[in-house]
Amino acid sequence: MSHPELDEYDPEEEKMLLSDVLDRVLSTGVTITGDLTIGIADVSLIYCGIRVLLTTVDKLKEQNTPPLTPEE
Amino acid sequence: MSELLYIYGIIRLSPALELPLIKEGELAAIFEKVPAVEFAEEALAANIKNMDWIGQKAVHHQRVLEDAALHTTLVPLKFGSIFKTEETVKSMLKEKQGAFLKLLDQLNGREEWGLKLNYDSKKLVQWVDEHSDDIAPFHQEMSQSSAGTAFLLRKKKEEAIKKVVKQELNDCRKRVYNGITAAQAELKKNPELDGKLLGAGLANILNLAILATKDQREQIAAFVEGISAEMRQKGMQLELTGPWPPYNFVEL
Repeated sequence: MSHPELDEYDPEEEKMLLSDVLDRVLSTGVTITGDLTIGIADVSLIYCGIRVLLTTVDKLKEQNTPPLTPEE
Repeated sequence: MSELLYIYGIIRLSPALELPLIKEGELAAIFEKVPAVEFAEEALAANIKNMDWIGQKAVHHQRVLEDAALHTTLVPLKFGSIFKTEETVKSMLKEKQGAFLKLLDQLNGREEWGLKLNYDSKKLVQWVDEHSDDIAPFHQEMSQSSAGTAFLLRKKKEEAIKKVVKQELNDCRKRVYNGITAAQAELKKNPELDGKLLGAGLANILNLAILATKDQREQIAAFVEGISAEMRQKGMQLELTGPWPPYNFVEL
């Protein structure tokens, strides 16, 4: 019985791809104003928040900070 | 109303394409019906703050455009371009027909590529320490000094390394930039990315979007391949990604 070869998994690569995608999809591309349900400016603004969020998640991982536990 | 129209991109109308399209004159909009519960103004404003949701939808947005771009030239719209009715999409296409057609002509035969130059500060410092001609004399002198003198020399060496590191960074950055501009493709210099987005220890010192023809792309890829090994030794990483839909080159 033959098995497929297992390729190397690189978590860094996945994250790069997602941040590349977010970088483009959320902050570039044609902005059309008109009968939209949400203003595009809002998306850009929120994107700043997402960056902060990604940054925070990374920082936590890097420092290996233990999860916050509720005070007793 | 339970469904809204999500518009991904605008193309020149062609009979060969089997995509859901809203057509108007010479143009067509690539669209998808999306549920209002998810995409209506308030829902979208809330969903967009959810990392899982936005990640998933942004990747879907990219996939739809990526697939369409295999068959035709397109103008990508920004995430969340949502219309309420087909009529509003059509009148938008009608109103902007001239600008879209002009853009589509400019983009024809070109693809967007991304180029990032990142570096690992620790590795670069180590490389400079071991290989720089400006640092070698310190090692020699330190090996022949008393402990006290060696300590002072080490401090001086650290200062010297900082200087060389700065020179190396600027030198490599300039070489990469010159190598890319030599291909004569259209370039956009985007702000450098926050290092924390790149992963542990990396900093971004050049972030370019490139709009290239096939020939220009080959020239750029060859340049990147040629310089990568040397860069890697210095703790630098050149990353060429793409092809992307031309997100960075579509101002109306």
